[in-house]
Amino acid sequence: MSFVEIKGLKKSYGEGDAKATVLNGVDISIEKGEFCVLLGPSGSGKSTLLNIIGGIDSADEGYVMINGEKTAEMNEKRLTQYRRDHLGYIFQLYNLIPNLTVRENIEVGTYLSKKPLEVDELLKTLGLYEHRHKLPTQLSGGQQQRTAIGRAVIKNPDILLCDEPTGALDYNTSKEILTLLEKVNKEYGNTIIMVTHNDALKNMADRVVKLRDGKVHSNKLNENKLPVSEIEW
Amino acid sequence: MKNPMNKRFLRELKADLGKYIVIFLFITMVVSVVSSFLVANSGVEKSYTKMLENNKVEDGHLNFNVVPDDSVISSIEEKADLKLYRADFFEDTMSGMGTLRVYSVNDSVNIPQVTSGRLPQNDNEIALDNLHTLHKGVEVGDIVTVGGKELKVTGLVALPNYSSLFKDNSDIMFDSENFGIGLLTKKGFENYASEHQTVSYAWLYNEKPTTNKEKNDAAEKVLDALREELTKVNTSIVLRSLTGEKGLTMLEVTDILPGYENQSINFAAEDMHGDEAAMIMFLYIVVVVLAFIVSVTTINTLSKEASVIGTLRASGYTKGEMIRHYMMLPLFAFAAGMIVGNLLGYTVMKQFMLDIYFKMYSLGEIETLWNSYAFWITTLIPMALMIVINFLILAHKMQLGPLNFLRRDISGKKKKRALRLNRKIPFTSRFRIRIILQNMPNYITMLVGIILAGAIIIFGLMFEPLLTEVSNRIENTAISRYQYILKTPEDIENTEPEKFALTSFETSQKDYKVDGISVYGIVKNSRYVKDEIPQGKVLLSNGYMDKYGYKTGDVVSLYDKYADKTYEFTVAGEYPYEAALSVFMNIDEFNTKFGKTPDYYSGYFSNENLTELEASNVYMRLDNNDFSGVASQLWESFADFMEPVEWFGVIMFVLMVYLLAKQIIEKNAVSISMTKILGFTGGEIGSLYILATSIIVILGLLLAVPAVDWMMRLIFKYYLYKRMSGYLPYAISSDCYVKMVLIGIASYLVVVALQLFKIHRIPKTNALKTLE
Repeated sequence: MSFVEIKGLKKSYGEGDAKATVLNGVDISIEKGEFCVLLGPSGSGKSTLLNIIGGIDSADEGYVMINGEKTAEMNEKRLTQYRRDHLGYIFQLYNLIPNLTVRENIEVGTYLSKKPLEVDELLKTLGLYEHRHKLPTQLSGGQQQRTAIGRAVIKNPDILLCDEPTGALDYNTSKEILTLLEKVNKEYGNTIIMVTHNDALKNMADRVVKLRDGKVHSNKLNENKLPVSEIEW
Repeated sequence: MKNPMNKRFLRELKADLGKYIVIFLFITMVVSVVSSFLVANSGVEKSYTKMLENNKVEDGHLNFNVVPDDSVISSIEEKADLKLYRADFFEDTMSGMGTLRVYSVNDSVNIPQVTSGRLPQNDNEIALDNLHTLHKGVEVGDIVTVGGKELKVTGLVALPNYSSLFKDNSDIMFDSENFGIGLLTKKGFENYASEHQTVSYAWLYNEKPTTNKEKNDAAEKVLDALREELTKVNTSIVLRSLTGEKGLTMLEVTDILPGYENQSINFAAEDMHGDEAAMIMFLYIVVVVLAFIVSVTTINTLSKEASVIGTLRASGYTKGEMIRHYMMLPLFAFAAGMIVGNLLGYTVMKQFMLDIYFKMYSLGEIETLWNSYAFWITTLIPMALMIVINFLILAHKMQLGPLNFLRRDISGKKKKRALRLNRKIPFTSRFRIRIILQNMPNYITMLVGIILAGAIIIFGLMFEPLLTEVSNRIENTAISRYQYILKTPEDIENTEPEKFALTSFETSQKDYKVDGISVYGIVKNSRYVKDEIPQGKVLLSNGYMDKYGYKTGDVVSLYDKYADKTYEFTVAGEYPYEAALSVFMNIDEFNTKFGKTPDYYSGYFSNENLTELEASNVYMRLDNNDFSGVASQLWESFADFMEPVEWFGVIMFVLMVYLLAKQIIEKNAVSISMTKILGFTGGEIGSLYILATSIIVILGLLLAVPAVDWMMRLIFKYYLYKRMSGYLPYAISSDCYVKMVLIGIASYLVVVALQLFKIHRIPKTNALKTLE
């Protein structure tokens, strides 16, 4: 059994004529420690799939099983605890707490975790150590996203869910962030599931899942994984 | 580790200081008023109760027309199981001082408590009550003239039977401005001519009745004993006069008043209890309104921080952690306000409240102590209310999943569809409508708050014109310029006056205080009472109808306490007469019903001064001033407290509107910043964002007029009418409402200035930043 098992996942929004099917029977298996990229055009259901994996949205049919536990069978309290213990989230918009410093924003993750990483060490890894006392408004977009990554990674989560983490960033900063994610995956061994519409990023993944019209179009292991530094788009 | 989110508290407090200061001030103001009131109240109540007991307040008193034989007194004492103490008095009208009722110092009943100086020891010395003297500026050492004799004031006292200075028990309100009590030595008292003195006895039961029923039964026993003795004595007098004996006077009871019905004794306690209930209710209403205001501000914060909350929830923060986080600061401001409010209540404000009490009641020394009851009432219950309301509203919001927060969709409504607005409506108006729709919870809370503040302002404003109106109505509905009440019928030549019969009964309506009702017998085709009174029925004065909610056809019961009889009357309609609660019936029916001779009458209505009447036979001459004086007397009792009430309402109005208006500006900070970038001027932005709020404020003030009117009607009907004797018409001058609206608008201008300043301070860069 894989670390993340997704079987027959269906999800639609609205009713009657306005009903829109977003996921229409998705089956995916992801192994522990894998860097999985979910690729697909807008509306293909990538973010919905990520949200269901993260337990912040629910499926109409099918299930997500993580480490042998089905998320649909958890009540809300258990699901919150589950997210707290095992998941880290990174969004396109950084959603940092505006009146907490960089270090304090990262400590928010520490507070949630039973096995957090060392804050200063991570700050250094993220290249944020000299900015640790700054507020989010004093940072560039890249620095803010690095802080958001820090907040998610400090928990040392089993799975890191990234929803278009470079969507709001320029080319260089995007590369910087992706390199960081690559480093985190390598150093801490977290399973990373990253949603993107940037086809070039498939090269940095261990597994590439392409979604189209709510279905898995392809699910392949990447034999020729490249470091981010060598990827161009 | 400690939740790093806690580090936000101090920073948020600094960043949104205005909001928390308003919450703090709001609750400090209310709690300081209520806690000082409760502390002062409990102190006063304690000292009042202590004085009743230690200074042996009478269980009742009765007055006779002449001094009865000792055998009558001892017989009543035996039959009613009580002890009677002689407590004669006389009254003197002193220039500038009003009426002084003078007793001799008694050491068995109604013992005075000296609050300054000492009791009189010589014939030319007097002690005065400490309340009337406070109003008149009389001090120990002053010389006053009583009954033509100069007396030195040696001391100020509080008397247990005159904590409230009611001249007459049927008065609507005490009159400490125009009525006071004096105490002479026994010898000093005897020096005054005895014909001016009222023969009075105060009684103390041998065994104190405790329950209301026991008190009532004991008083019944006194009345029974008295009736028995009067019948016995007067039968003997009639028999003796039949044998030709001269100079005999029938023994009559001119007044009997059990202690539990005596307003001078009980009014203070009843008033304190009633006011206490009203104050606590007021506190809770304000706290509930404030809790909703705070909830609205918190929901605005949630809306502002929706994506952060979504992220934190997605990362594993529990609902409980989020609720606690967002409740913490408002609760902190609230708790700080309660602590400071209580501190002020126990210190500065307490003295202010005590001063109010000292101006109202004649009291002994007052000791105020830590009052756990006041603490519970003003701290824990409001805190619980605040926590519960905020918790429920926040918990309801937090039911939404992390995804809703991440998508900034926290309205909780299923599918938002923009309301279509007619394009014929100008753009700016549509813009304002959108702002109003966007901020509906703020505006609804604002409307409720404005109505509440409006009610407080009206309460502060209404009494002066109301009491002037009462005076006018009394004058306009007067039956005649003078009413002469005679001791015995006396015919006169003059045909202008008109005879009437009069007696007085009591109401016995459950939940209401006992009212004295004047029952008039009116001659056929009266020139004074112009409405026809149908045979077998009565007309009720409009106040009587209104106060008790009677309708035509109802049956009214009145109790004659002297005869222990209840009479029933069928109401034929209303007669406009404001001076007293009255019943009008035909004089022939009056005389038949009450066992009088067919030609009996009690006095005259007259528009002329009747000098031809024998002065000694005139029991009372009432003119309009006697009636309308009650109104000015009422105002004198209220005037001091009304201005603070009005200010309280204004401050509450400003704080509440400011807090809610501020939220709207903050919520729209990015849009405001964007309109600045687009080139809108400060005035234009103001007209878009502030005018929307202004429309709601003015709408709220206008809505407050009927709403407050409705609330006041309920207060009159279900609170005031049940708590006070007599009648105050519900007649709030429309000027008061105009003033309320104008005061509201003027106060709102302060808020507008603050809003303009706030808009001015929003930087253009706000719109250029990322969404955090």
